[in-house]
Amino acid sequence: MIEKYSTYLKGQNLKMGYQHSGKTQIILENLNLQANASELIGLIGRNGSGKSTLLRCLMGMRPLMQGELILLDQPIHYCTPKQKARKIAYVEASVNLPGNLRVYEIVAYGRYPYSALLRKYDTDAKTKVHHAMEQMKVLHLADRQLHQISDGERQRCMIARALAQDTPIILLDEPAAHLDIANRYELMKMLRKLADEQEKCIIMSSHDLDIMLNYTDKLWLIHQKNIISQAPEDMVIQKNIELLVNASDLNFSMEDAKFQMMGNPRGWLSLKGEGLVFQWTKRALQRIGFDIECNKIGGLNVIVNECDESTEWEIEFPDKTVHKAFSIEQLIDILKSKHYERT
Amino acid sequence: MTPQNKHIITGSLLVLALLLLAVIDLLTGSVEMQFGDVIRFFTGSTDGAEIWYDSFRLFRIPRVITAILVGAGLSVSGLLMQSLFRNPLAGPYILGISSGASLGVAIAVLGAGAFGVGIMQSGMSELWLVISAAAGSFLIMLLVAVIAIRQQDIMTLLVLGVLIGSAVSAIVGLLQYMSQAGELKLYLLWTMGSLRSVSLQDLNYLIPVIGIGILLAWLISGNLNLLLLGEDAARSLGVRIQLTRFAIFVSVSLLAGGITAFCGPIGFIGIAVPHIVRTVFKSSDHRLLIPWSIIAGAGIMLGADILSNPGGGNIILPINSITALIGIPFVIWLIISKRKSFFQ
Repeated sequence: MIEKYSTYLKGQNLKMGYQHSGKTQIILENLNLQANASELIGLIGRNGSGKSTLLRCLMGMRPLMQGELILLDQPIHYCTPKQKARKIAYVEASVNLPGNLRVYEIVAYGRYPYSALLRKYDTDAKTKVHHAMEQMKVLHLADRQLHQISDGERQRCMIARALAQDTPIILLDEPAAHLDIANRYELMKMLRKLADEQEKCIIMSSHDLDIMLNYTDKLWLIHQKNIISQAPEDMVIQKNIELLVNASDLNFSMEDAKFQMMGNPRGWLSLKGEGLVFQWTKRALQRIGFDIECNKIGGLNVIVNECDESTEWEIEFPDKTVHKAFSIEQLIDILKSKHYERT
Repeated sequence: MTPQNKHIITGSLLVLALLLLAVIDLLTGSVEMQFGDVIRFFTGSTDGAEIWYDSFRLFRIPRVITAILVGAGLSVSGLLMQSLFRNPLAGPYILGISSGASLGVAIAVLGAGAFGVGIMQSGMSELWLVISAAAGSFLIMLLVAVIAIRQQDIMTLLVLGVLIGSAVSAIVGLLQYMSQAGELKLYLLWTMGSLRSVSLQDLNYLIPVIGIGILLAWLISGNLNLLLLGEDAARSLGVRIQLTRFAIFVSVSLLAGGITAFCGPIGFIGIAVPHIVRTVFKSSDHRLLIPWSIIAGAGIMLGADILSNPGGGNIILPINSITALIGIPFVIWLIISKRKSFFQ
C-alpha cells in the first residue's frame, strides 16, 4: 500500500480554528500543503502561531472548518478511527503518564489499530513491537516501568509506540523539547534514518532552529495564518527565516545560521588576524556590539597574534595607548572599561 | 522469576484467600455451624430439618454472595472512574451516584415524614428504600450525563460531580433538620450501608445488574489501557473516545447504582481496591486489573463482613465503618511506601 503513493498527505484550501461561544477564531486559512514519502518536515513558528492546532487537524482530532485533507488515497473524513490510526501516528508534547506503565506495554499499545475486540494483540504484534523498540534503542528497557527511565528514553519509547503503529505518516509535537543536547541529536539521527530507509513521512514541530536547519528536508513556517513551505536553505537565503523574530531585536547571521542579539552599538573597530581564534574573537566583539571592519584604519585596532602555545590580543586605542590581553574575557574587559571611560 | 510467574503465584494466593474468606463468612452468624455442615449443604445431603438450614439458606448465602458482588462491583467501577479521570482519588461515587441515592432515600424517608405523609408509620418496606435510592441515582446521573454531553473537558465533570454532591448534602441536611428522630435513625442506618438487606429474591436483580456492568467493563478493557496515555494519544490510536466514555458511564451506573440501591453507599472499597491492585501487581493493564480488582474487592468485603459480626454474636457493626477502619491504614502505608505507583 505504501509503495503506491509518493504523496502521503495533501491538503487543499484548509481552514482551521476554534469556536468560542459563537465567536470564530481562525488560526490558519487558505492552506495548501503536501507531504511526501521519505520527507522529514520541520514545522516552525512562533508560540501561539498554530503549530499544535495544525498537527491536531492533520491528525483529524480537530475538525477542519473548510477544505479537503487526503491521507494517502482517502479523504480523512471518510476514514474510521482505526483506519486513520493505520495511516497516521501522533506523539504529543509531553503528558503526565502513570509511572507504573511498563515500557513494553506502552509500545505494544501502538498495535491497537490492528487489534480485534478483546484480542490483546494481532499476530504481527510481537515482531513489530520488537522491531520498533530495536529501532528506537529501547529494547533493553522493555521491562522497566516509566518512572524508572529518563526523559530521553521516555521520548524514544513514545516514538517507538508510533513506529509499532506501522503508519506511513508520523506527526511529532515538539519531540525534542525536554531532551539534552546529546539526546536531541541522537533522536534526529534516528528520525532521519526512518525517513531515508523506511520512506516514512515525518512532520515534527520544534523551536530548535539549529536542528531544524540541519536535519529536515523541508520547513513549514507558519506566518500570518498560512504556511511557507521551503527547503531550509531556501528559507535562509530568501530571509523568510527572519519572520520568526522581530527584526529589530535579532539579526540572522547567514554564515552561522543563527540568530544573534544585537548588542548596544559601540561603533566600529578594526580587527586583524586569521584562523579559528580570529573567528571567535570576531564573534565575541560582535556580541558586545562592535561593528567589525577589516580594512578601515584610524580607529580602535585589535590584532590577534596566534603563537605556538598561546594567543595574545593587542589592543591599540586611537590615543595610541596599547594594551595586551591573554583571553577573550580580558579583551572584552579592557574594551568595556575604556568604553565606559569615554562615555 | 518472571513477572508473569509472580502474577500467577500472587493471583492463586488471592483466589485461595477469597475462598477461605467466603467459607469463614458462611460460618459466621448467631446460629452455630460446622465446616462439615457447609459441605453437606452444597452436596445436597441435608434434609432441610437442621437447626441452621433456613438461616443459612435465606440469610447467610445471600449475605456472602452480596458481599462478593458489592466488593467486585465497587472495585471495578472505582477502577473505571480512576482511569477515565486519570486521577487516583476518583471513585465509583464521583459522578453523584451516592449523592443521588441518598437524596432519593432522604426524600422518601425524611421528606415524607416532614410533609406528614407518614410512610414510616404505614411500614416502610425495604423495597421502598431500594426504589427511592435507584430513582435518586438515576436522576442525578441523568443530570450529570446531560452536562457531560455538552462538556468536552472531562475534568470539569469531576468538579461538577463534587459540586452536585455538596448541593445534595445541603438538601439532605435541611430534610434531616425537619424530620423526626425515628425517621432520622432509619436514614442514618441506610447511609451506613448493609449487606444484610439483600434477600435471596433480590439477588435475581442484583446478580445480572453487576454481571452486565462487569462484562461491559471487560469489553472496553483495551480502550481503558489507552485512555491512560491521555485522551489525545488514545484518539490518535483509533479509540472512539465518546463511545468508550459512554460505556464507562453505563457500566459504573449499573455497578455503583445497583449496589447503592440495595446496600446503601458503601465507601472506601471503590477508591482503595484499584489502588491496592495496581501497586501489588505493578501494572496498569486493565486486562489484569479488572479480574484482580474483582477478587481483591470481593475478598476485602468478605473480610469486612466477618469483622462486622465479631464472634458471630448478636452485635452487628455498620459495614462502612469496618471497611474504612481496616482499609485506610493499609492504603496509607501503601501510598507512603510506594509513592510512585500511580501518577508521577
